[in-house]
Amino acid sequence: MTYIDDFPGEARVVRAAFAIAFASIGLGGALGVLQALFRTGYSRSLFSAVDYYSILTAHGVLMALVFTTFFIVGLFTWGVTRSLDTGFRDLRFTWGWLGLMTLGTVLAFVSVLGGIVGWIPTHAAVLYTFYAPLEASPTFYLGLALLIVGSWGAGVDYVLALREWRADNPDERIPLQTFMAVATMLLWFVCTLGVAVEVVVFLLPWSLGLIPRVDPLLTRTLFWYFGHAVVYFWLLPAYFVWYTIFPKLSGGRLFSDPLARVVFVLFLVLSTPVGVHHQYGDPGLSQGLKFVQMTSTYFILLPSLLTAFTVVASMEHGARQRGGKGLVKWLRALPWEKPSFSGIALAGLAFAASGFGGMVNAGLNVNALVHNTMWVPGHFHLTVGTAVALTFMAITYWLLPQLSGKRLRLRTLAAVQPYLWFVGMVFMSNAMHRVGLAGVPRRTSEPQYEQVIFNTPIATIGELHLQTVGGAFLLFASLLCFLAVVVSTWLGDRGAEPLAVNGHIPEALSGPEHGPSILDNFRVWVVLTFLLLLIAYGPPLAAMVQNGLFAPGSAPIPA
Amino acid sequence: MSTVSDRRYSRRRFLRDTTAVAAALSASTGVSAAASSPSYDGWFTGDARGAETKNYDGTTVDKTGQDSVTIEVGAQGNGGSYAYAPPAVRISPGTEVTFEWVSNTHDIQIESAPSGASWEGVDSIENEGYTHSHTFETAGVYKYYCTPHLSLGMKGAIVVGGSGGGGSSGGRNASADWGDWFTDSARGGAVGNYDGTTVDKTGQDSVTVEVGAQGNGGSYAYAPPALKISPGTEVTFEWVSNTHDIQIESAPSGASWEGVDSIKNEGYTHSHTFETSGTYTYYCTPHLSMGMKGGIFVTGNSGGGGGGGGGGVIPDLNWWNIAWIAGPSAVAIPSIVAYLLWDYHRAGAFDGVLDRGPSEAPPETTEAPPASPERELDHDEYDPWGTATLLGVYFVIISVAWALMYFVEFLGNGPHIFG
Amino acid sequence: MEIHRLEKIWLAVSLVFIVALVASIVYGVAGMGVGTVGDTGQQLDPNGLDQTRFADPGGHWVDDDHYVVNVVARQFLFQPGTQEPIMVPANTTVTFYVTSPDVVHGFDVVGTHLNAMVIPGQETKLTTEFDEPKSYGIVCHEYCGAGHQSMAGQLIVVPADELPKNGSAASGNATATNATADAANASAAVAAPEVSA
Repeated sequence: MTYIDDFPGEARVVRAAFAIAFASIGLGGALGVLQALFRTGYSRSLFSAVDYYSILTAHGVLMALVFTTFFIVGLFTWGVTRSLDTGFRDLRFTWGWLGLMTLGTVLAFVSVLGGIVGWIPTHAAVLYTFYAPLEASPTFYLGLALLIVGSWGAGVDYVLALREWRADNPDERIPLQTFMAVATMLLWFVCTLGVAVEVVVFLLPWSLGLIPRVDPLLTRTLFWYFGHAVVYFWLLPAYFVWYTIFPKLSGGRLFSDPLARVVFVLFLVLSTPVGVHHQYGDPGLSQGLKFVQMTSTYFILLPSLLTAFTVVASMEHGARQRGGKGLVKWLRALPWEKPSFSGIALAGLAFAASGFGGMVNAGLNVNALVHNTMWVPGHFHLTVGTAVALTFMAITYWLLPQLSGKRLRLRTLAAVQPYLWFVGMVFMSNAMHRVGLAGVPRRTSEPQYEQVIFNTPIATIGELHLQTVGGAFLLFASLLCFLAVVVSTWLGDRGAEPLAVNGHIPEALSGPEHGPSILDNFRVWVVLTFLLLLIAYGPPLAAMVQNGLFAPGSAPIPA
Repeated sequence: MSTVSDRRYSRRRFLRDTTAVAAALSASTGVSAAASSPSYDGWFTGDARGAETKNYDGTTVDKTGQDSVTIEVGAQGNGGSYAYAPPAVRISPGTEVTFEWVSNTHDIQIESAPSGASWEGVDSIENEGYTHSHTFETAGVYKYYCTPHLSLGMKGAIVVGGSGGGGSSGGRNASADWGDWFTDSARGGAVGNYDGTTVDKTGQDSVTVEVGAQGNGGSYAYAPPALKISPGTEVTFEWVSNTHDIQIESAPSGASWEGVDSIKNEGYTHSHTFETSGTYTYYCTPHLSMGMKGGIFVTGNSGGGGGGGGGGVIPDLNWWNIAWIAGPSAVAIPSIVAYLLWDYHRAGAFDGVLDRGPSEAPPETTEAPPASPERELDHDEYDPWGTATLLGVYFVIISVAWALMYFVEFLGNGPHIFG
Repeated sequence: MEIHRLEKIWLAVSLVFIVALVASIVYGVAGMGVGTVGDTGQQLDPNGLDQTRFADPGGHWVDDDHYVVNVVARQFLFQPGTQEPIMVPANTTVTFYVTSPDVVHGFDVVGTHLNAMVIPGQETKLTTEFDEPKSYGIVCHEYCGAGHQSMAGQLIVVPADELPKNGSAASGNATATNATADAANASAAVAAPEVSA
């Protein structure tokens, strides 16, 4: 018996969500290679410097919004039903929100495609941040709105399943996986409020011509209310994997269940009142406000530092149970040949490195060193592009057999894939960080100017460009390996062979009973979250709407 | 800026295809007063400064004879409000041209003007509502562009006067414009037997051109050198002396004429029926340097002579057509296939083929057995000293890195923002 | 709640580390005065810049030791900056005011820590001081439309006495720019990163 036998209907939902996620990472990855080639000047014959921005928009939307969101709702659907041991009440509702998300994705993607394909009458080269007054076709905003509203449906499903379970088990602690999924979805509800208001109240009517002007600073601030919390919406599902599955893959048990809950509560409370750290360079926002949000930004390092301890300690526990010895030598006892383990371990390593970059980004003044340079995409290719994406790929090797009843195929390819990704990203991200320090801007199709010289210490820009392109090709090769494994597994026969994995997850060394029960009381944490938000975002938003919701206003400028 | 200029882009090729068809269609219905297509020496292509001017479809709008003409500055085009509309205009000397700013941040920088011209353009960046007028007296070609948006292809051109000298007898409704093809500045030099006259043969079914007629210092001339015909006219080239060919210098896009690639001698003939409107220029390879060049202008209005079939211009197979065909079929074919599959399925046609009958339960999956650890390590007997070591090392690394980055690299180097 | 003693130590170390990070920023901001862009309290109508300080962009002296440059960033140029370089005096307090009449732009002086956003309706105020005569590139680092990749400019720091201080700001503005542009162009035309004093 495995998951697909227990919950065939839910397994089908998860597989559908994963299929869309994998299709979008495949397409988005191919676009990524094209961008790397164009930016670095290796090949500029395939499309124009203007089309670059449509391709960049598609890459960002497909990777950061579509791949992540679809994978996450699939992963959590698995985690919630598995850990509560109960299916969803009505799968028609579940298919409904998945359908809505898919429709939104198609609308948004086709809108972007209109920028490249002449006969599609849409334009949406506004990048994934779509700052007004650059304006996309209404279909782009509509698609994004549908994608987000659909994902809310997933949260509703999880909360309903939890309530149903709670009615039957009034005194038990919430299973850890469900706790994490619900905490993450609550964070998602809170932070998407900002972007939902931005899109539904301002940008959509504005692009339809119903309102003539919007306030660029206000819409931008609403975007960043969402824009940094969203990275925790990507990261927390990776943490979900690190805390609940990774210890087992290492051969051990989770070190501390209560601390895992504390970490997720901290993220729920602290994730949203940090968005202004993306706006340190913005006029119209006081340095005091920026300082307040910087403090909360630095404090959000805390749950990640705690995670580092708990997860590494759980991994070490596995290594010692496998016979590992010594202060460092135990690392060799770990199953590095298994892609589900090695992928997550390398993802964690990348995340540790990117933590330093995050500290620089978050500094009120030192941010000026790197703001909007290539450093920033270098940073988030380590975080969401490796810590999150590589974790998702790695856990697919473990999860897909249980979701499909099919044994993993092309296992050698799978074993190589995480290393290929890691090495590729080390090259690409290192080069991006370094050209960023030299001042090369991000989001620019041809970063070379008559009047500007970029000075890079040590390596030349040309060498760094070579690194970028080489890294991009390694990443794409790794992606192809991953897709080959997934597709060939998918094509296999269900139940033909026994699986190489099992869904058993051992108990934590320190179980939930060691933590206070208030941790499970989400009402308290949501109230606290909104209180903090009021402090962090109340004053600036109030100041911005004081002189009119739409003033100072800008008319749309199509992009 | 040259970074953008010297490349070819798929999108541009695509646009070129569509605009060419659009131009051909509009020309055939006589909507546009497209008289001719001067080449402007590639000014509107990506080979000149800035990018290709995408809102230039090869048409020069003919406003000759009008007292005043308006050109919009910052009209839609070139990926935003980055276009002069119309980009290319032909006017008569003495016409006052008014430039009207319809969006913000544009200027008019002059790239080239005929010698003696007095127009200076608009040097400063101006915004919506601004206007600039100039009366063009000096004949010739004026090329101009917008400084901020040159890299997007915001370029324009004004042609003052006809290109031919003196009294041209040709133009009834549309006059041919040969650019500089018959002059010194084109390759091969001036064409001695071209006196500025374009022989008008519109409305005739067939026309003859002599190849190797007297002229240009010997038997090195096409006679007549410049010809104007209606679409559907068959032109017969008759070799009247030895060693000549017909190489095509330029032809409208979509044109099918290939000229005569090999050297032929007296007595040879070549016929072609010209369907595609526009300007064709051609020359003789061996005698180009003598000025053996010719041109055929095919007018837009095919109905003029009441000649051949009604069809006129047949658009080429291009993305538009593919889209028209593929779009509906992309919907229709899967729908039909899906319906058929569903219908077969309902009828039970697949029950024997697919092994999985609806009632048959899928095979149960066997999981790997849970692995038991080499040695069980309990909560109380486990202290994560290895973790502490790794994190200690990590802590030292990020502390040192922060100190270097913040205090040395950042605070140590300026200039800074002081509030 | 039971926490392993090693993890308690790590928790304490983490908290100290976070406080140290915040403290080092406070030291930079309060101790050395190195901050970031703030709120000037001034809002503008993006379509009515001719009513504001940005009506006639350029630099001028407001005081003996204070030079102000008003810059308009627009699709796809800096005024001044792109068509003629921005000239500022060395060893003098220089304040840049930057705004945009159209979309969001960036204002990044490459090789310095002057790095800010330009948002329609807002004015970005950057105060700084340049130690030595030097030439810098300016890059728009926020995607601003189809021609974004071409949006750049130049900033030239010259000795303070090369920017004449003749009387009122309005008339001084034009002469200041013209008088020095030629000299600076000559030395900076090749976009050499260093301009000797």
